[in-house]
Formats: sequence, structure tokens, C-alpha cells
Amino acid sequence: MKCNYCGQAQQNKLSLKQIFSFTALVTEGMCQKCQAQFHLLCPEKSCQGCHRPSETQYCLDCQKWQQLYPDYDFHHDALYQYDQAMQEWMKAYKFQGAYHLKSSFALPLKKYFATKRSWFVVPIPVSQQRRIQRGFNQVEGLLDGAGIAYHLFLERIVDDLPQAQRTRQQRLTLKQPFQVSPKFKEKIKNCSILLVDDVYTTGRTLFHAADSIRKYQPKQVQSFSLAR
Amino acid sequence: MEYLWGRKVLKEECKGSFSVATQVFPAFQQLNHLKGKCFRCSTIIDKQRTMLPTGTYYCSNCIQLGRVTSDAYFYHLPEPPLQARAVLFNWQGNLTAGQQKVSAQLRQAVAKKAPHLIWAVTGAGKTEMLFATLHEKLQKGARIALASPRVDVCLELYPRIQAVFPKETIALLHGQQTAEYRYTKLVICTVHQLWRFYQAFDLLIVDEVDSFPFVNNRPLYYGVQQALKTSGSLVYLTATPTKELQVQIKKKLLGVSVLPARYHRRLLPVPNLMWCSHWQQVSHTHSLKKVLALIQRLIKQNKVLLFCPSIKLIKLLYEQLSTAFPQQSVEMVYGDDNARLEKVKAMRQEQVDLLITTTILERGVTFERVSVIVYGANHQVFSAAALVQIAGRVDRRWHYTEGEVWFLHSGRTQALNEAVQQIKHMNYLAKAEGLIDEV
Repeated sequence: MKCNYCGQAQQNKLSLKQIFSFTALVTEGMCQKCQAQFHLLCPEKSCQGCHRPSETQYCLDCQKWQQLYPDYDFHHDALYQYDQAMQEWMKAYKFQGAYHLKSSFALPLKKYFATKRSWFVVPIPVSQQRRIQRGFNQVEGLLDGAGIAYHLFLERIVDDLPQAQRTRQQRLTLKQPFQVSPKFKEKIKNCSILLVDDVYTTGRTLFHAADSIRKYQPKQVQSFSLAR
Repeated sequence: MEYLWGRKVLKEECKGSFSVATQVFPAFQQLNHLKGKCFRCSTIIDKQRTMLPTGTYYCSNCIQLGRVTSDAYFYHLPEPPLQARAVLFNWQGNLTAGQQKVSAQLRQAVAKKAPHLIWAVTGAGKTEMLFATLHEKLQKGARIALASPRVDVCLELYPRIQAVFPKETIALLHGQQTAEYRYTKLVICTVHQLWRFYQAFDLLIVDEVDSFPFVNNRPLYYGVQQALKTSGSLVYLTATPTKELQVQIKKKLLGVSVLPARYHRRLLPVPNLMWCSHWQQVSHTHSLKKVLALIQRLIKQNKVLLFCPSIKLIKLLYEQLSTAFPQQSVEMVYGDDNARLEKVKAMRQEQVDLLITTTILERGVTFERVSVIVYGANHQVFSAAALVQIAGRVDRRWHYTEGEVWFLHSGRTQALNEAVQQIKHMNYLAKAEGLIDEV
């Protein structure tokens, strides 16, 4: 068993529970040493809207979003802090294109999505250009790696600069880049939709995506990202 | 065109247009329907594991140098034929008798194109022994690479070589290098960069062959083999050859020159051992007192390098020592440290009195006036080779500064004994060959 991130042989000691659970072990993920680099977000002391560590119920950014989208009761979940370690992982996975890292977070993702069984999982699409360049969509990769079924309801109509190359201001003034693919328009009605992205920074992308979906009267829309 | 001579690069890595004569290699050799072999680093890849949704797959081993996908191609142009030329050689130093012998042996071996190992003790002046051969080969128009597994070694080699060949342009290649690649006759690079060369060098010198990550790393070894022309000669340099290399020497597959003494004709400093129980717990009062007293004594004469087995211990020790020595500047440096290069530079300029570090500084660096302490020398990260290298940081300059080597341990390991024995053996050989001035 090799850790798929650091490449070193991992010696995970089996617990009694694992031995007697009689299910297949997940061997694709990261070793415990690598996992310890990433910091989980704690759900108690965080903003209701965007899951940022915050003392108040809604953080300042989310209060602005509430003004912008008064009829959207948004809620975002995230697993990890977007810190140095996560940035490095993202760099390896997204920008170097190390697709085999897709299963690094398989276990925590599985755990989270187990609580969202009845939801339609919708990954955020990337532009065609970057899809060809990288050879994959990073969000779909993460979901594939964790073995989670998803639906490609959204498509991107504007191909633009990657988000990472913009300033915060430029990102916030971006125009709506998404639309719901025509064949799925009827499916959305009265369904619960869970939008999934890799990183939540300003929230612009996810709010655009939610906006395009809410036109077709879903029951509720929430969002999820690996890092925040 | 020059850009591609002796190179092996992906389309994204090269700028400009290609001529028709460019040689093109597919990025992967298909071994069977499950496995493919990367042409850059020779790793055999499980296709299923790295299969992209587009159906192509890539090599996960050399991905830091840019992803090689199975539908990509490598571009290459053969080296032009050698042309003799004049090369300005600016070195006034003299070689000692021992160095001269090795230097002559090296020239012979390179002329015969036989692979050769220079086994010279730490601080013997290995680089100086290369100069004659380098100059001779450069004048013949040969292309030469000096490669090392460690960036620090490359960074230290570069100015020294540049000073000796002031009119030569030298390419310095490593992972953090931002300057663009240019064709040069002389290349100093990390061994990883050799993956980007193909049949390029007439002489390839690998410094510190026994160090991480080169040891037992087949892909890197392959990189060395294929960067060398079939008519080229390979030279290894080290102070502590591995068992495998020693076996090769015994089988006469590898020529060897041994230099057991340093150029300043003094014996290698033999490590002093000191019992230091419970070094794992830094605050263990009795042991800490011993360490502090030792540092107190050493720091009066020299700067002190303190080697630690783990980063956790470094941080703990740093806290203790920076409070215990408020007048001295205490620093710590380890592998993941962002300011690593700056801190080492400060140490070189003698701005730091006490540097706490891991094995990253075990080799390839020379500091003026240091004493060395190995804290927890019986930890498993300190192999015999590492300990010999660490002990070799002391007394490398011409002027004697009474630098000392101390191994603090809580039980002798085999590596510890081996290291001390090896140093003593080299001293014995040096005395026997008359390479030492008796004081």
C-alpha cells in the first residue's frame, strides 16, 4: 500500500473494527502522516452561509450575498481549510494534472455524501479549453475518486480566464457563465440539488451556478466544496 | 535549433518552430495492454491507475517536470560533432601530491571512457581534482555535465566552476530555476534535470552519488545513463560509497581512485562520543545541562552546527537554546523551510552562531569555523554515511580552528561504530601513504 500523495509505503495499523467489518479496505487514499497536514473546519463556530470560521451567524460577505439574492436561503458546507497544505495539494492535482490524487480525500468525502443520499450531486463544470488542457474536470475527478454518483446538469457558456488568475474584484463582477443543459430542465423541479466545487473563495461561482438552477424551481439548493 | 541539441523535451517545453530533421519519440512505450513505460524516466506505469477521462494516461513519477501523457511526443536533435576550441582556464591553485595522483588517474580513465569512482574523504578537494579533466575535455569541444542529487551542492558548485572558467557560459538547472534553458557546453544540474537530456554529454560527473534521492532510484539512474552519449564517460564522486558501488569496484566494473587525506594535510577530526540519555525528551534536565555546557564551550571558538534527527526535535531544541543563549544568534533550518536558502547563506557569512538543522545540511556545504554536534546520533536517520559526512563538515579550510565533532547518543548503533571506524581507517591510510604532516 503506497500513499498516493507522498509515495511512501503506508503502514496503517488495522483496528479491530476494520478487521471484523468484513468490507473492503480503502487503500487508495492518503497515509495518516499526509492527512495530518490538512486541517478540518469545525462546523460549530462558522458562518451559516459559507462555512467560514465566524463568531456571528452570517459573516459580512454572506450578508452582502443575502442582499444580492434575497430569496435564496443559501447554505454551504466545506471539509478543509484552504491553507498552505491544501494549496499545494491543489497545485499538484489541478495545475500539474496529477489525476491519480483524485482519491486522496475519498474517505472524508464518502462520509460527507453519505448524509446527502437523497440529493442530486451536481459538479461545477470547467471550460472546454481547460478540460482539454488538463484532461479532466477536477470536481468530477474528486467525486469519481470517492465513488459518488453525480449529474451533469450544468454547462459553461462563457470560457474565460481561470479564477485563480483574477483579483477578488474581477471575480465578483463576473457575468453568469453557466446554464442548465436543455435536456435536464424538467428534471430539476422539486428536487434537492447539491452543487459541488473544489474550492470556495469568494462564492461567486457557486452563487452563479445556484442562480441558474433556481430558475427551474428546485426544492432546495445547497453547495459543498472540499476546501474553504 | 540549438535549443534541442541533446535535449528530450515535450512540445510545451520548447519554444519556436521545429525543422523537419527533428527526431521525435513517443512518450510511452507500450509494454502490454496494462502497462506502459515512460520514455522520460523509464518508470513502468499501471495504465488504469493514471487513466484520464480522455483515455490517455500519464507518468506519475516525473510529473513535477510537467505531465507526460501517452499521446505526447518528445523532441530531440543530436549533438553537433565536436569542435576543438580554446578555453580560458583561470586557476592558480596547486594540487597536493595525493590530489595530483587522483587527477591523473581520472584523466586516464576518461580518456579510456571507463566508468570511474573518486572516493575521497570529505573536504579532500574533489572539485579541484576535476579541473584538469574539465579543461582538457572542454578544449576538445566536448559537452560536460556536473550533476548532483542535491540542489545545495549545485548552487555551491556553480560559482566555483564559473570562477575557474570565466569565459564559459554555464547553465545551472534545478527545480526552482526560473531562467530559461540555453545551450551551453557546461551544465550544472540536479540529477532530475538529466531526464530532459538525451545522448547529450561526453563527460558526466555525478557528485555525491550515495545521497538521497539518487541511491537505489532506478529512474534517476536511467536518467544518467541516457543523458550520457554512448561514447561518453561517467564519473562518480563521493566520500562514502554505498555497498553496491563497492561491489562494482570489486568486480572491476568501476575504476576507483582513493584519496584518504584532505588537502591541508591534517587528519580528519575523529568524533567524540558522549552519553546523553533520554535525548528524545529535550527538557530532561541532566542531559540538557550536558548539551548546554558543551555548546557553551564550543561556541567560544567556533560556530556550532547542531544536527537533529527530526523536525519536531529541532523546534523543541530551538526554544530551549534560544533562551539559553540570548547573546548569540540561534537559527533553525529544515527541509520544508521556505527561508532555507537564505538561512544557509547567513550561516555561510558567519552571521549565525548556532544553527540547528536536520540531515539536509549533512553534505555539500562548507562553513568556515564550525564545530559539529549530532544530537541523538543513535537515531535511525543517521546512517554510517550520514555520520561520516556530518563529521566531515569540520576543519575544511586551510587554517586550523580547533573545530570538534561530538556525537551525543544513548546507546551505540552499528552505524555509529561504522562511521567512527571508517574515519579512523581513512586516517590510517593517509598516514601510511604519507599524506599527513605530523604536528
